[in-house]
Amino acid sequence: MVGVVAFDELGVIGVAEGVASGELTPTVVVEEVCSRIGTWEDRIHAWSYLDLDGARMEAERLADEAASSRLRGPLHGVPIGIKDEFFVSGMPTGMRGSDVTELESSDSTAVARLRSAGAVIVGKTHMPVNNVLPPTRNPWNQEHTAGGSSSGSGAAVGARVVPAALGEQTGGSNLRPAAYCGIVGMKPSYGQIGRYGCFPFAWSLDHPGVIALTVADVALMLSVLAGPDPRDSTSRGAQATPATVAAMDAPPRVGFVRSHFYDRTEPELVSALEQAVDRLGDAGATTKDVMLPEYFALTWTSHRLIGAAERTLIQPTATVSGQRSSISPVTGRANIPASVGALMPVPYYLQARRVRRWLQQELTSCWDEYDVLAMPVAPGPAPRGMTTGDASLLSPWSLLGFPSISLPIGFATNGLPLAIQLVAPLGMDYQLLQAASWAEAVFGRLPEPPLPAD
Amino acid sequence: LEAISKEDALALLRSEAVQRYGADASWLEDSLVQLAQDMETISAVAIPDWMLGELG
Repeated sequence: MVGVVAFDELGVIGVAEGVASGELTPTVVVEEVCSRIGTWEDRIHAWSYLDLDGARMEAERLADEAASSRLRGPLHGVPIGIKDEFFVSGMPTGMRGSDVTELESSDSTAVARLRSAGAVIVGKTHMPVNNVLPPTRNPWNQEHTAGGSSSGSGAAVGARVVPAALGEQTGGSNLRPAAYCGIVGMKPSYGQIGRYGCFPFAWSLDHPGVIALTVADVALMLSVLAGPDPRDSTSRGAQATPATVAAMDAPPRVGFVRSHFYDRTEPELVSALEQAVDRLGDAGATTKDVMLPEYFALTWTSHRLIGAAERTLIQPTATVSGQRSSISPVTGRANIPASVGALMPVPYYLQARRVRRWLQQELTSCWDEYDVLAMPVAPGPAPRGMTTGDASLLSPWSLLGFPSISLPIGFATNGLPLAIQLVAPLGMDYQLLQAASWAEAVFGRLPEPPLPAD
Repeated sequence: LEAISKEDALALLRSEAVQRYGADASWLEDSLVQLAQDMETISAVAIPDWMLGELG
C-alpha cells in the first residue's frame, strides 16, 4: 500500500535518519518503492530495468546491519534510481544497444559510491537510446513529457517512487526533467562527480548529476558522490562538499538575467520568474537585472561544435554513418549528428575549446556582484507529446562547467510545474547550494502529484 | 585559425560529405548548413594573446 513510508515528507535525509534511528527498516522502505512502482509505472514508464528481488535482498542485509548499529554511511537504506547510462553491476546498460542484454560486471564510480554509503540500487531509469525516445511520461500529466535525457530519473522522483536518482547532463538533461516534474535537479561543476563507468556522450561536456526532492537532499547526495575519482583524470580537482547546507551569513545577491534566454520563453513563465525574483527580494535578497555580454551567444556555438566533434570519436562508425540530419520541432534548429561532426576539420574543434576557455575566464566576472544568476530552465512547462523539450537554456552551463540547479516555483495554468535556474561560477557548488536552499525556503516546495486514478 | 565564410565552409563540408557518404549527401544538408554557420562564427572569434597557448 502506497504511503506507509512518506517519501514526499521524508526525502533522502528523512529516510536515512529513520533507518539510523530504527524508526524505519530498509526492508519496509524497499517495499514502499515496490508498491509505488505498482501504482505509477504503467503510467509514467520510468524504469528501463528493475531488480526488485535484488533490492529486497540488499535491504535485508542493510536491515541486519542497522539492527546491530552498523551503518555503512549517510545513505544507509535509501533507495536510489540510476540513469541507464551509468554501469551497475548485475544490470544491463541499454545505451550499449538494444540487442545487448549482458549484465555489467562492475559499478561506475558514482554507483559504487552510493552503494558504499548504504544506498539500495533499485534499477535503471529510462533515457533516449540511439535517438529513440523512451516511453516515459510526466507524473503531473501523462500526455506531457517528463523531459530528458534523464527522463526516468525525473519521473521516478517526481512521482515519489524513490526519493532521489542519479542523472547526467551533457546539454540540459539533468535540470530539465527535474523542472518539468516539479522537483530539484543539480548539475555540479564539471569533474565534481567522476565519470568512470558512465557511458560517454561528449567527454568534456558530460556531468553526472542528482535529482531529488529538496536542496538539502541534493547536498547530502553530492557529499557522497563528489570528489576525485582515480579512474577519471578530469575529476582531479574535485572537492568534497559538506553533507549539510549551512545558512548564509546574509541573504543572497541574485542577478536576474534579462538577456539571451528569452527568444522562445513563454510569457507565462517570464511572469512567474519575475514574481519569483520579487519574492526573493521581498524576503531580503538583493536582486538586480543583469544583461550578459553579447558574446555570451558563443556558448551555444561552442557547445554544438564541441559536442559534434566529441560524439564522432565516441560513437561507432556504423552508427555515425546512419545518423541523418533533422530539424528540432522545439527549437527549429538543425541538429549536428556525429555523421556531420565527423566532417569538421579539427582546428574548428580546437578553436571552440579555446573559445570556451576564454568564456569561462571572461564570464566569471558577471558574478562579481552576485552569488547566483537566475534565469529560466526551459522555455515553459513540459511540452505535450513525444519530445524531451528544449535543452538550449541549460547547455551554456554544460559547456562552461559552471554548477547549476533548478528549483520549482509554482504551476502553469495547465497544471504543470514551472522552475527557475540558479547558476554559480566554476567550483562554487557549495555556495550555489546555500543560495538555492535560501531560495527554496522562500518558494516552498510543490506538493506530491496526485496518485493516478485506477 | 583563419576566418572562413559560411559559403566556403559549406563547400568544404559538402565535399567531405560526398567523399565519405557518396554522391547524394542531401540527407545531411540541414546539418551541414548549421555546422558551416558555426564554423564561420567560431573562426571569426579573436582569441586574446594570453589564450594563444590554451586548448581549453
